[in-house]
Formats: sequence, C-alpha cells, structure tokens
Amino acid sequence: MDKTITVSVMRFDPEQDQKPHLQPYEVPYGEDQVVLDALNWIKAHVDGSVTYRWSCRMGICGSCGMNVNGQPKLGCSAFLRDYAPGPIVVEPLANFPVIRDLVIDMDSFMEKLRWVKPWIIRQETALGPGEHRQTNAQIDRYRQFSMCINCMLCYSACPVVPIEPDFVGPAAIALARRYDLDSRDQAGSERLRTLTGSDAIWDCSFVGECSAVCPKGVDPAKAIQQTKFESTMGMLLPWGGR
Amino acid sequence: MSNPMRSGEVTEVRLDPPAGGRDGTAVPASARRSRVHPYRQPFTWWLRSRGYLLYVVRELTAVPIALWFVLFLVELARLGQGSGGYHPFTSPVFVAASVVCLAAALWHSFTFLNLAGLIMRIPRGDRDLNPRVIVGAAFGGFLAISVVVAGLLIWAGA
Amino acid sequence: MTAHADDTAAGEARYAPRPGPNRLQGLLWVAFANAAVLIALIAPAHILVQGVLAPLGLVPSFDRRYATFAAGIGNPLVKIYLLVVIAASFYLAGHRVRYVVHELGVHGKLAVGTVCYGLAVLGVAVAAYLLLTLP
Repeated sequence: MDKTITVSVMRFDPEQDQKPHLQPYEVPYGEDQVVLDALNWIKAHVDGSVTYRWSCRMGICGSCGMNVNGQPKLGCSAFLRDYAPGPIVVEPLANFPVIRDLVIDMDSFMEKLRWVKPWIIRQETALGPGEHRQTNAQIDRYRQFSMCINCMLCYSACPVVPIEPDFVGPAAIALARRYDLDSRDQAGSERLRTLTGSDAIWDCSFVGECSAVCPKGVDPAKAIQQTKFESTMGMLLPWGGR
Repeated sequence: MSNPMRSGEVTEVRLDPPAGGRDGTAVPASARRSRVHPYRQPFTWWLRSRGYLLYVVRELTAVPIALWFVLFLVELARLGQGSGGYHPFTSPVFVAASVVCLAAALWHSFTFLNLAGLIMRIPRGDRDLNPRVIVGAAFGGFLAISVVVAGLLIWAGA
Repeated sequence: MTAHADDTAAGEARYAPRPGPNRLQGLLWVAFANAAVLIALIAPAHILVQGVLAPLGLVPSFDRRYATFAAGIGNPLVKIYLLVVIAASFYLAGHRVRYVVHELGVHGKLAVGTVCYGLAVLGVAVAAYLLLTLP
C-alpha cells in the first residue's frame, strides 16, 4: 500500500457555489513531491475541474502562489514532507478576491505595479552615444529589489492590503525603489513624489511579514522603510532633497 | 514611406484594443467572469503566525512606556502639595508595574534599534555601510546613553 | 495609453490614489521615528532607576526627598528635557495604537487617528502644565 497524504483543496465554482468549501483528496506521497505535484495529480486522476495557476514549477515564474496550511507559499516550493503526516490545507492566496478554486483576481496587483512606473525614465529617448554602463557596485545597489517574481505572496502576508485599498503594497514599492536606485534612471524625485502620495506607502506599519514570506529574498519591508526615510529627509533637511 | 494599412485593400483596421478587453483580446466586459468571492480579513488574523503576534506585541510596548510616564506625572503632581504632602512611590505594586514597563521599554529598544540598521542606507564611496555596523553602533549608543542617563539620575542629587 | 472602457467585472476601479507628496503622513512618520529612537535610548534608564532601583532603596544617592526633587524640577533645562521625553512617549503610543487599532478591525481611519493623536496631545498639554507650574 503506497503512502498517501490528505490534501484538502479550497473549491469554488462561481456558477454553482455560494461560498468556497474544502474538498479533501488522498494523494500519493513522495519525499520529493511538492504541493503543485499533488494538485497536478488530483487534476489528472481524480478531479479535472480543479483550477489553479502554475507554469515553471521551479520557483521563478511566480504563478503558483497559494496558501498552504495558512501560510502563503509557492506551490512548487512547498514540499509534502514538510507537512507530513498532514492533512495539508491548500487555499487561494489571502487578501484577494477568488475567481475560481485557487485562482485569485490579481487586477489590483497589476494596477499597482503599473502605477509606480516600473521602467527606466530618462531625458533622452534614443540610445544616443551607446549602451548605458554600470559598475557592479551600481548594480549591487538595486540588485536585491530586482529579484521580485511578482508572486504576490507579500500581498497575501500583509495585513494592511485587505483593509486599505489605497496602499500600493510591498512588491510595488520594492519595484519603485529598484528603479529609484538604478543609476540609469533619472526620474528620482518625481517617482518618489508620486510614491509618497495619498496613503500609498504610509499605511505600512512595518509588520515585516512580507519580507518573511518572500521566496526570493527581496525584503520589500526594507524597501518601504527606506522609502519612508528617504522621502522625509527632504522635509527636514533643506539639502536632503533628492 | 507608404503605409500598408492605407493600401485600400484593408477596409477595417483595429489599432486599439477594443472596449472592454484591457489585454487586447476582443472580450467584452460583460462576457468575462461572472462573480468573484470577495476576501474578508478575519479579526483574528494576528494570531495566525508568530510574525504577526510579535508585531502586535512590539507595537503595544508603547503603551506601558507611556503609562509609566503618566505615573511619573502623578508623582510630579504631588509636588504641588508641598513638602508635607509629597511622597514618592514606594509600594511593591509600583515596582512590579515598573518592571513590566521596563521590559516593554527594553523590547522596544531592542526591536527599534535593530530596525535602524535596516532603514538607514549610508553610502560610503561605491558601497553602503554594512547594516550590522549601523546596528552595532546603535546598540553601543544605547548602552552609553543609558549609563550616562542613569548616572546623572543617581548622582545628580548628591 | 489608449482609452478603453473601465472593466468593472471584478469590481476593481483603477488604482489612483491622490497625487503626492502626502506631507501630513510624512510628518507624522518622521515624528514617530524620532520619538521612537529617543524613547529607545533613554526610557529604560529612567524606568530602571526611578521605577525599580530607587523605590527598592538600591541607589541611596538618588535622593527622593521633596527638596531635591523640587530643585531638580525647578531647573528649566530639566523641565524642557522631561517635556520632550514625555511628549515622545505619548506620541509614540498614540501613533502605534492608531495603526494597531485600525489593523485589528476598527474602521474609520480619521476617527481612530483623531482619538489617538488627540489623547497624546492632551497628555502632552497636561505634562506641560504640570512642568511649567510646579514646584
């Protein structure tokens, strides 16, 4: 008798269900199997209607974010052995509306990313005298914040996101800081001014869970606090403006 | 340069995404998903992980600290009663309360000074100053200042 | 950016907070950061000496008699120092409680903020009154 483990998946069919409900499945257990493997097995052998996002299955595309036993994780990086003997409860990412089963509505996230203008802004539009040059040290300044894979685990971990629609969120601020610190970017104070508008960053109270759950070590909490600090330096010191 | 779009053979050209399809596909808004299940944050969210609980504890350390200074103001107000009426707090209850407030103050100091190293980015030439150095300096400063303040309090009256 | 109809199928409006900078929130945060640093550095020493060691009689040179205390408080530098420290501790509490209370489910940011900062201001006013009129 092969070893199995119970994986309970949150199911929601918008056309039939009033609200989401958990559905348990007995899934073959393997020491090297992850939650995503379990979901794929369920879809292939038991219930083809299970709906979830996934792609690379190796922790780089950011598609398979989900709540595993209450914690936001990438489905492809959550090993069954870490939850054995189970049961494992798989739910959609918290803090987002649910479209179907484990698929959440990420429109708000995409909007927030776009709002911080995550691209190099420079005076000239043509390449001009050639490629932009950067030393390793210049790249190191923003390298950490460039590692974001847009998996939304940080939005799922942040307790402010669901209660404050104006809060732009950890990944967006880390992304804005990535461009702020990029020596090629010339939007400096303009981007900062946009960012510190309304309650876009000020709703953050440094819970720090965003950085705790980030699978790529981006440390968005650090990015947010640094943004707060550097945007207010200009208020206090006349020479501190960026 | 002739524009192939205006060659006359093409009668209808869509250059913009059609209304309702934000990603460019021709899907009218009414045909998209029917209903989403909204998310409601439970009131007990802060019990769901150690990180959340530590956060609430960290934030609430500000309350005992403030309350201790309220007690100090009470002691201060007694000055108004002159040398006959004034008496400082001596009861063990006050000492116990102070111990609790001291624990809160120390936890605030520990957590906040750690964060100082995270927040401050001090450029030194090409690189930034190592955050551990900043945190070390912050704790060193804390110890030094504590000694100075305690010393002033204890021996200033002498 | 091409114009197209707003997609409201999921109930999401476009993300568009007011354009910044938000000086009020920035100011509130800077005040909090500085108050937190000040309290972090000096509060433990005060509470340890005045709240634990002195009542237990462990530091006899810390004179708790009326005359000494009154003389200390009479010094304007001491008044200012204590006012700053007390204001910092009240503001720190007000700011942090405002965020925690809101995150724990009490809606109405404006109301919560007004109450929390209002109480802090009230406390500072009382402290200022006491420090300026006593001994």
